[in-house]
Amino acid sequence: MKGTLRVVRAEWYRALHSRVLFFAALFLAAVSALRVGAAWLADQAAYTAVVQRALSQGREVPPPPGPGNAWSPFVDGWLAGLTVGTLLLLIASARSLASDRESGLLRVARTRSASRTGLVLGRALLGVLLVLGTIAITGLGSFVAARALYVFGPITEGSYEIYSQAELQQELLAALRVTLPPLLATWTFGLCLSAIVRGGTGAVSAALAIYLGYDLFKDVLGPDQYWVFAAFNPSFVDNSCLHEMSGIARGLSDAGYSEVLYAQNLWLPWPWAAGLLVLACVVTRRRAL
Amino acid sequence: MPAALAVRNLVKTYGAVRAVDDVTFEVPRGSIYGLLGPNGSGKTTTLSCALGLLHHDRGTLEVLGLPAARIHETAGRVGVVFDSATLVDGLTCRQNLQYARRLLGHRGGRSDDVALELTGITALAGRRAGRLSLGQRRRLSIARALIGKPELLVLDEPLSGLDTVGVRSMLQLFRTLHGQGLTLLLSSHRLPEMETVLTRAAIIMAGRLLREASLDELLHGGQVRLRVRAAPAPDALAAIARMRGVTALERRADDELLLAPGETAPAAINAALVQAGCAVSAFVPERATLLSVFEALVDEQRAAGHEVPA
Repeated sequence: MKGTLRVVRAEWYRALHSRVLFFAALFLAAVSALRVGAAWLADQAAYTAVVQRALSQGREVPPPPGPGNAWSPFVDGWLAGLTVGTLLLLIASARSLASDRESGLLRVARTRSASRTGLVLGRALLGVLLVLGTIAITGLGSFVAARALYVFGPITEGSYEIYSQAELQQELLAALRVTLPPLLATWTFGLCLSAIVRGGTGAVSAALAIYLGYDLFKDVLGPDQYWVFAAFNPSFVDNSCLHEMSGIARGLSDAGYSEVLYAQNLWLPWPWAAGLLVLACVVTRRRAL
Repeated sequence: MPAALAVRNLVKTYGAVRAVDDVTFEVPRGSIYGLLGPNGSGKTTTLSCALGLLHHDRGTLEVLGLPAARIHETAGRVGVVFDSATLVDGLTCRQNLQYARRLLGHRGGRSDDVALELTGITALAGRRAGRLSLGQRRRLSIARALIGKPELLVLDEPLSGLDTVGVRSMLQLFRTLHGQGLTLLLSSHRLPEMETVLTRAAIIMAGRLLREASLDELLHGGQVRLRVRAAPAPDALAAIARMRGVTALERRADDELLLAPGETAPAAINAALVQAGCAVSAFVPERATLLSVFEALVDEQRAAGHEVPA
């Protein structure tokens, strides 16, 4: 266990002091913020079109709408950041063991302090920090942009309040709670491939090919897609709980996960993560370093 | 006190290829031990098994008294420098040392500054490892291995790729570290340079251990040998046989003889050959070197019918 913690400390130090992590964090925050900015630009363009139409028809130009509700662009921005963040996490985890084995860094750690299992578990624990960091930085990027361009308030339809602020916060927290397990399973999936495939480039290619392949074709499986952890991740073909939250923030009454699907999302990724982690440990124990 | 590293009857095969074949040796504490042999002779495989990085098929391996598979329990008492400088390119020299220190998990022992100073790269402390030259990278790898309190320092091909100046300063560094009480295990194919620092060596070829002894024993106690060409050869051999303490070690096809003169002065041997009516056309005193010992071992292997790589 001590060896595992040493690996976590060393890898965390390495991550903090490498420029890659800094630029990745900056990039993710920017993606989230840009998504919010794009939504604001679209709103402005829509108003411009209304003004143009009014002028061409000789009607009175309607007054500019006040700043819109921030909830929908905020969640959409977060979702966009997490979609890209998930891919970056997958790339980082797939590279970790494979490229360190390639460069010989695993050998250094092995001869200094860590057992073979410790090498894998240390990186798995580092994944927890990075996943939490990804969720936080994308949320922050999106929040700052949404706060600057919109106003947070209840979702209303005319004078009728569909969702209060408190309800929205509760829904968001619930969505975030189930966002974490599949992201962790994704990290261990990358780690597992990293243990199996020789070379960092090969491991990353394999991880992306499998993950994106599943993402693109998962809808063919219908409800069975939810037996795989990746179905719950924010992605290009998005069926995640956070995506449903985006619908709620738009005031859609039929948005949201069913209780069964929510439970599936909350619990199913854990056995996946455990299984993939055990497999990564077994493979690493048997391999030459 | 157990040996710094003990390898007993190690066998490692890759498919049908026996990369290491029943190799046994011990690295005594306080020595500079050489694992010598040409490229592909099984040195790195032997080291990888001994350091628990590669699973072996048979044999016993111990590092500082612990089985190789539990090398991590030595908690930094073993420093390893691999043949390719395994550094984090995105980190500076000092950060690379900090990374290694976190892997060790305890403070104390040799500080970063001392390690950098010992290896002569203090001025490069703030430079990223990716921007270092090959020699500088190797020095940084050694500095990293020196972090903490290593008792055994293992270096795989530490001289490869270094220029003459680099080799000289590296050898000096080995002497300094040895002077500080470290046990060094150097794997190398650079026999002439290694000869100047080693105290004991194992010569390995095609996975087999050919000879294991102290350097003094390997080099025949530094005794001078004589390479003599005298005709007719039978008369020369007869004259040599009459001389007390002089031994003919080898007779080559061109009637060249290799003699161990013992206590007899070379001039007396020359005179005896001339007195016996031999025409002496060459008389060269030679000191044994690791290279000549290695060549002799290769010839022995060939004569014994073992396969010897070209």
